[in-house]
Amino acid sequence: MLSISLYAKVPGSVVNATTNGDYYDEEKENNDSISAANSTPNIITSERVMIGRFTSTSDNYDYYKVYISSNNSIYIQLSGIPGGCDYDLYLYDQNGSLISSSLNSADVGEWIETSINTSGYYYICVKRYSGYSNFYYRLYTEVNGVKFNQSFYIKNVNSDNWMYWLGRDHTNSVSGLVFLSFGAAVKINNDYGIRDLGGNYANMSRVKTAVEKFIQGYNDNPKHTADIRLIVAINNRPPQNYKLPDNNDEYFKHGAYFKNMINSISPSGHVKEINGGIDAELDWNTPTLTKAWVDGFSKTGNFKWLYNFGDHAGRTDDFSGETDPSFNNNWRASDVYYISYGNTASLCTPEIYSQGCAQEWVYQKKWSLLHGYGQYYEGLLSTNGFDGYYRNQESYSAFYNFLQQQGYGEALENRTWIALTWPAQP
Amino acid sequence: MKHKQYLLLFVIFMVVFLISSVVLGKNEPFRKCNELIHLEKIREAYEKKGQKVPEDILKKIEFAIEYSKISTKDVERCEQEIKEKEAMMAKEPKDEKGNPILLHPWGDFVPNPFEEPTPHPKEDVGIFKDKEAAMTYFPPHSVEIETYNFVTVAVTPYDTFISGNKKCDENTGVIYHIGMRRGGELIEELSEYPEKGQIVFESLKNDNGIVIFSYGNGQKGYFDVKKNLAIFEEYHTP
Repeated sequence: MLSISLYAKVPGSVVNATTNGDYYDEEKENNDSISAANSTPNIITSERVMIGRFTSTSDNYDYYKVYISSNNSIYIQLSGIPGGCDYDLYLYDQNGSLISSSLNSADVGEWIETSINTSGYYYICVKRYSGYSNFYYRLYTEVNGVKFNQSFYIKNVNSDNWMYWLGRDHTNSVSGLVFLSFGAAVKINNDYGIRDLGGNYANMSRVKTAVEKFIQGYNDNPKHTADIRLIVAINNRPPQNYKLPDNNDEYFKHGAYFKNMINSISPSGHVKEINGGIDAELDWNTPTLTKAWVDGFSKTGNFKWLYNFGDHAGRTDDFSGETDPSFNNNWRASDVYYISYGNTASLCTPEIYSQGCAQEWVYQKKWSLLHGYGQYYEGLLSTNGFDGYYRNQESYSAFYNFLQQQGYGEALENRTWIALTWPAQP
Repeated sequence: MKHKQYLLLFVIFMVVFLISSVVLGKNEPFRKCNELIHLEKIREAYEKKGQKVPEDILKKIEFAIEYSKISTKDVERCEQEIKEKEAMMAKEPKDEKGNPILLHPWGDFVPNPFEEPTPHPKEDVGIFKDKEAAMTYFPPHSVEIETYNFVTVAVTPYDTFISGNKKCDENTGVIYHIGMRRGGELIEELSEYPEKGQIVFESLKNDNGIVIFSYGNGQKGYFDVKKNLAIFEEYHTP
C-alpha cells in the first residue's frame, strides 16, 4: 500500500494521500538556509502548494525560492500547522534582508501579503518556533494573482470542536464570501436536516449550532481582521438514505426550514452577514424539485440571499440564440436562470473548474441578456486543482477572459475555492 | 372656541409628526450591502447606454434595499462587538511573541479534547453496492471523479469507506476513508493498492469492526476499522 500522511491537527484533520496529481510538491531537504533553497522543487512558480515538515528539533528552517518581477505582489499562506506546534513565516530578498513576517502563536496559521518593487529572487522561510511532528504543513504561494477566500465542505457536523477549529484556523484574512456546504437534504423521523460530506446526519438545530461554533472560532483568531460573509449551504443531490420524498411539497418545506434556521443565526464580530446557498448540479436532481427547494427558501421569512454555486452541465457551445435550450437531465436555460438569478433572492457564484465550465456560464449569461433578463455573477468558485481541474488562478482567468471575449466582462469580486481535502489543500 | 383652535393645532401637529416620522423612518440611512452596490452599478450601466433595465434587476434592487436595512443593524452591532473585543484584547496578557493570550474567547464554547466522536453514531450502518451512493461523497463533480472509479460504500458507526480502483490503472485498487475520532479529529485517507484490482465491499462483521471486501479475481480481504488497516487475506473470526 502506498500512503503518506499529509496533515494532522488534534483536534482537526488527518489527511493521507498516495497521489498529488501534480497538485503539490514536497520540500526537499536539506533546505535549511537561503543558499540551500536553490534546488528543485524548492523553487516556487507563481501559484504553488508545497508541503513540508519538521520532524525533530534539529530541523528548524525550510527555505523556498521564488522569482518575482517588479510591481508585482506576493501572497503566502502557511496552514496545516500540526497541533502542538508553532511555525512562523518570513519573506527575505536576495540579500537576506527581511521584507515581511507573520509570527502568530501556536497553530493558527500564518500569512503574508506584500508588494514587490524590485525584480529578483525572493526567499520564503518557514521557521519551526516550537514543537515538531511527522505531519506536514502546507505552504501556498501566489505571485501577482487575484486572492481567493477559502470555503469548506462540512464533514464533521456533529463535532463542536471540529467546527470551531475550522473557523479559527481559516487560513487567511481575506474578506468576501465563505461557503459552508453541509451536504444533502434529508428527512429523518419527520425532521428535516442534512447529511454532511462525512456521512453524518444532523437536524437544523444542530446545523445552527455548528455554524455558531464556526463563527466563534473565526472571531477567536486574533489575526482575523477581514469581514466575511457566510453562506450556509446544501446541495441538491439526494443521499443514499433518508432522502426527501420526490415531491415539490417536501422540497419546498425543506427549503423553508433551512431558511428559518439561517434566519435564527446571529451574525457576530467579523462574520457580519449570513445567507443561504445551494450547490445545484444539473445531473443530481430535476429542475422541478430543485426549484421547489429554492422557492421554499426564498418565500419563507426574512430577506436573505440564496447563492447558487453549482454547475451547468451539458453544452459548451454557444446556445444563446436558442429559445430555451436544454442541458443534462432535462434542465433548460430558463431553469438555470431561475435558480441563479430569476428568482429575486437568487444570486450566482458559478463553479468554474475548467474552460468548459467558463463557456457554459458565459453562454448562460449571454442567453439571459439576449432574452431581456439579467444574469450577473457575484464572483466564482474554484476547486483549486482538485482531481486535476483548474487551480484558482486558472479558473479566474478562464472565466474572466471568456466573459471579456464575449463582451460581458465583470469584476468577479468574490472569489472563493472549495475542495475535498484529498489531495492536500492549502 | 380657543380650545377648539388648540385642539385643531394639536391634531395638525400630531398628523405632521406622525407622517414625518414614517417618512423619516423609511428614509433612515442604511449601509448598502455589497449586492446592492453591485446591482446599482449594473443598473447604471444600462441607463448610460440608454437601455431598459431588466425587470428582474429592478426587483433585486428593491430586495437588496430591504436586505440592507435589516443587515445594517447587524453590521453596526458586529462593529460594536469588535471594538469592545479589541479593547479587551489590548488588556489581555501577551505571550512571548507579543500575541494576546485569549482569556476571554468570543463565545462560551471552549474546545474539549475529550469530546465524543459524534453524539450520534451513524444509524445507516451497512454496505451500499451502488456507484451513485459512492458518488454522493464527492460533491465537486456532478457525474464522477476523473481519477478514480468508486463503486461501493461501507458505513460503520464512526467511519465511512468508499472503494473502487484507479481509472488509468484498473489494477490499482483504492479505498477512501473518512473517520471521526474523539476530540473532533477527522481522519481522511485515500489509499491506493497496486496490483490488487478493483476493491468491492461485501459485508460487515465483528460488530461492524471488520469490512469484508473482494478484490482482483474474486479474492477476499478485509479492512480492520480499529487498526485502520486493509488486509488482503480472508477474514477468520477470532
